[in-house]
Amino acid sequence: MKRRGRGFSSIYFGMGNTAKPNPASAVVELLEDGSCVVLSGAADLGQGSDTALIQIAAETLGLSVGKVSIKSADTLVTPEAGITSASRQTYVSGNAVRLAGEQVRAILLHQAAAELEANPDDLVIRDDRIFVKGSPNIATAVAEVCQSLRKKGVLTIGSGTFTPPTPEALDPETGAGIPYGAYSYATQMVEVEVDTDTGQFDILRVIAAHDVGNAVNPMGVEGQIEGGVVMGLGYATMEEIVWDDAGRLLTDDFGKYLIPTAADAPPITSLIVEAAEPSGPFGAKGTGEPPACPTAAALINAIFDAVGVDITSLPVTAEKIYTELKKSRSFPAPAGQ
Amino acid sequence: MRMNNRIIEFHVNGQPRRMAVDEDAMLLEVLREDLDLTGTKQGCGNGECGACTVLVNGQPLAACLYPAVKVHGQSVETVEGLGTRNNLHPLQRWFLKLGAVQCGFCTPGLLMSAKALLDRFPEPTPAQVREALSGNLCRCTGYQKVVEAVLAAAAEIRGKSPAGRTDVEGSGALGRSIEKVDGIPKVMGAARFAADIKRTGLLWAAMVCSPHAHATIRRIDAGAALGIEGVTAVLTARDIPGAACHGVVQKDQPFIAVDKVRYVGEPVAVVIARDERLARRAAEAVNVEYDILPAVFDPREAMKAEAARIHAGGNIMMHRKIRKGNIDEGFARADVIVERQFITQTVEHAYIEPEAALAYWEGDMLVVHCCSQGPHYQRQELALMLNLPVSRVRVIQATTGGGFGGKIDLLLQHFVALGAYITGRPVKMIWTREESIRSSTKRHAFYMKYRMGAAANGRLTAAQAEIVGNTGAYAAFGPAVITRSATMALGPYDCPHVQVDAYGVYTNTQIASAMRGFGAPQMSPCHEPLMDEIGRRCGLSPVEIRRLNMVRRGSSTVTQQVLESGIGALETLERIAAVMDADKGDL
Repeated sequence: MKRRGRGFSSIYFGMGNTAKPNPASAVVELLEDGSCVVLSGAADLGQGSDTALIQIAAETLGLSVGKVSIKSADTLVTPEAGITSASRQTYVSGNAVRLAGEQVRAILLHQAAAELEANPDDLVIRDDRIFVKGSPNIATAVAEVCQSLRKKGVLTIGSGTFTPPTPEALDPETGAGIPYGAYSYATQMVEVEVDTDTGQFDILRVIAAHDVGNAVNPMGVEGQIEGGVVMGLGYATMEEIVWDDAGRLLTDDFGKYLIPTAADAPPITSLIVEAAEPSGPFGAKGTGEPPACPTAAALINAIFDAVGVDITSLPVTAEKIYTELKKSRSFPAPAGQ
Repeated sequence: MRMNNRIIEFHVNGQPRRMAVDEDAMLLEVLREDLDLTGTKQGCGNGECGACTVLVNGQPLAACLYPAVKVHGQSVETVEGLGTRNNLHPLQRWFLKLGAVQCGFCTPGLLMSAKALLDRFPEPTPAQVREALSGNLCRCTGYQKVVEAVLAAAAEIRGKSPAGRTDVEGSGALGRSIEKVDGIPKVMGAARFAADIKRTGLLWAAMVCSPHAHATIRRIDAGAALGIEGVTAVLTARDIPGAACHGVVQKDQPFIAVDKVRYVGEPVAVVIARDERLARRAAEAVNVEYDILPAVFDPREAMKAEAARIHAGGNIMMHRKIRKGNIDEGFARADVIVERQFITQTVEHAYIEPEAALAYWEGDMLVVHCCSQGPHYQRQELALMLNLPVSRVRVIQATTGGGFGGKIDLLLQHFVALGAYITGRPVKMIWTREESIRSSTKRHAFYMKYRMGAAANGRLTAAQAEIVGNTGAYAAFGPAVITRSATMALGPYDCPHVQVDAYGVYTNTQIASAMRGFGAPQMSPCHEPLMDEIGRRCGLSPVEIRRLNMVRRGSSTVTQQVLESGIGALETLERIAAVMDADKGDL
């Protein structure tokens, strides 16, 4: 007989290295035609930090995204940004880019204010133009302001450094302290169908709700969620490094170390929750790691919901479920079930 | 050595080719090395990952297993022939538009498998797409966006106008799903991963690895290897001019084993030779004599006083304590107490791009191109090893095919850097899949004991956890993983009395370091089933028990950090609960 079950799992995840400084810096250079180059040490491994940092620079300077380019992760050219780890680059390097961009923005607005005969605080930069708040006709182009600055010998370049507000190491005896400047939160639901005769199970769908602060790029966030969920399911159901009794690896290729394929991956619904983080760039937080954290637990809870079997080790396999089902059948079922 | 003794004629992307190939050369090698079509990737060499998928007479196949001589008279299509920068193939365009590209390493293979499918079945179902792509491993995307992109491209090819995303346009730069800025080279096969970077006068490096889990090195005899024509050098720890050890948190890991090995696969020497095959063959000729020591593989055993000692300071790398409130009082106040023991396994990052690096001198600067998650950190380690000013080492991250924490630590950068430093020539190294799994880092296996208490109404009163993590032979990022696991041990819940003891323990297994989640994926299979169990005992549903205990403004975490803002925990729960309510009848 096949029985369905649903399992929930909630987690939280601190952004950045635990209770230690992990600064990042960035350089933003606005060029004579109003286009812009960002230099950042942040390594993009495919997760999309180059894209997110460009969007943050463009937002800070009011430029269209297509005008911003980035050079990242070349130690002779780009400043230190720390390691791409701890879900930290959008949060930490994003802030560094924002701060660098704000320096340039201040130079721009100072000049534009003189040209437009306005107060710098009353100016807005959007879509590559600078205008007086509420009076979009009193305006000038970013490129023109850059050029007038260059004529005066002023270059539009800025640098920024950010480190998360984690003031000191955790207390060695109590662990008390502020390990992270911000947290991401998530709840996932896994729906499973279990064959009570064999223990075989199918994962029917996953719903993953992730609080990422203000999403810089929703498609990129979904990509992190979907990829993390499937990695979490690989962890939950099939992946395992196995050694022999002399410590020699037995699972040293993709024939023996199995990871999920397109045929294994279930449909995933991503729900993006945006609880703006005041210390993040424009309210953003990181989301690289959290999607891989709750999935295995949600599956375990779903299997319990379906057939009342509690799995106590990973990976969850049909054999483990079958063994537990057999055990529970050797006793009379509790009343009411 | 390549013999180039067979002449073959075939078409590649419509161009006729006539060339001499080695009898036992595979098509992948000919494409990548002889024709410089490096868009086709090598992920495993066993036909298991699909990164090398090309079409031969329209049929998708693994170029890594297909003898080059067999393409004589046939027509080969690679990703480079799919579209041009100004005229991308619909598959390439939709991969970008719908976010089907992340690292881009598996992308060429996915594109070619998808093209073969659409050439035969212009209107596939989602299940047919998944089936057709099931031989192409992707570790970044979870496949969903890949399937959506293939379906959209198919529709466009049939003359339909598939819907794109609605959140691309808009005011301002944020909150918009713009395409990846590094996407076009990735869908064209033009992005240069470290293995794709070439240099004239190149030498190749190969590792000599320990076959023993724990042993002292008595003698390394490189005579036979050095006697092979084309072998330039056999490097050992003695050739290192600067620091002997590296490590992101504590420097306990030799760049090359010094007098002892601590896991099977630990590098003890590095052979530098004229070509890749020769370097590997010569590595087998290096004779290392060992005195085998007792080994320990289970961290619970390794904690015992009588266990084999792996490091001079003992096997317990660290003990992280959390003490909040008074745990005895917390359990005294509990009406419901639940317990759980749980074991998680060691797992592999399994990025599809195996590690690769290339080093050379450029004037006074030692340059290293590599896959990397942290070029600045790696620069510092290389400078210490070579006794160079940090400013004279340049680490350039090549396009990197996924990392997930596995490309943080030094993996092979130091071998090519040392090789270039010593020989003065460019030195390159690419790991096979087997070398990658054997010598890269892993996610910690955890052994956990949990006990949680709650009042009859379901409010948590106490949470206690003991965590033993297998950190393997060296620390790497292990101390940070153990600390994070302690801070994440309870999950997103408010509880007044908490006690956590998290131990990181050395064993004679592969090094456990950072992997996506960093100690948190191991915790949720403990705290989440316990939350459900408390709920059942208190008559609350999974949603209700979480809603009751979840952190909110003013809550104090296990480290007594008071949360003040940006707390979306409850909303993540409520959003899913709302979906559940909406389709209650389905289950």
